[in-house]
Amino acid sequence: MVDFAAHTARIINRLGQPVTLTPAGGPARVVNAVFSARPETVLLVGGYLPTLRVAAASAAGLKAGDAVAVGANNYTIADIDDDSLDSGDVVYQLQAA
Amino acid sequence: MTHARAQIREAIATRLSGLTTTGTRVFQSRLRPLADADLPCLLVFCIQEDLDYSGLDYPRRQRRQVQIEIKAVVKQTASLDDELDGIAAEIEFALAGSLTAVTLGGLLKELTLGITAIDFDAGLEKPVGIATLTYVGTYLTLENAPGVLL
Repeated sequence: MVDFAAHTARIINRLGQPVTLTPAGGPARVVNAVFSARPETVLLVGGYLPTLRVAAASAAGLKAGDAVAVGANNYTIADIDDDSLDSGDVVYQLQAA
Repeated sequence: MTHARAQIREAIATRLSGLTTTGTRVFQSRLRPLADADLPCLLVFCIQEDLDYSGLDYPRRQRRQVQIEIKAVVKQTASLDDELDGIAAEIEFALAGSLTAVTLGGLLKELTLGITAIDFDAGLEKPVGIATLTYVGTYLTLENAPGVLL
């Protein structure tokens, strides 16, 4: 049987970049995660949708509202798509802080 | 010939230009996505018009009621609803703060605010909010001269 969580974690580690995750009330930690910002238009307004794909093992304790830093840009977690049981990762929709 | 409706839309855009929050960022019938540099802004659309005819002789007189949508668009991280309500107050005063405003300087017989609808979306890097104020403007024309306001 394939260990998807380990497989996904290896991919994310290889493709990702260091990001800082700061759960509310907890210490900041740096993990490798895949950040993307695809162009979107909502309600006539153009912009981008920032998302962060994190290996399930690195995502422990993160909740909506927690802080994420990617390079010099600061975000908060707006929404969570938790697929940790199947594919072994969690995708966070971010908003600029 | 410029249709009377276009004259009205232009007059509304002109009257709304220079408001405290949205400044000169007033766009008519814009369909392209708005960039950050365009915001906060106002969009002006004429979306529908109802007509009644009066008289039996040619040309008949037309009483027209045009629905004008004014969309206030904001993109920011906090106080979206306060910002939209503030812009709505500026719009409402600009279009009803005097008799001249209510008639658009004599172009309209009447201008009334019918509905205000507010919508939010968090699908971008910052939340987006839109307040849509739907006005109804009443004006008169003759059927053979749609560009001449009576």
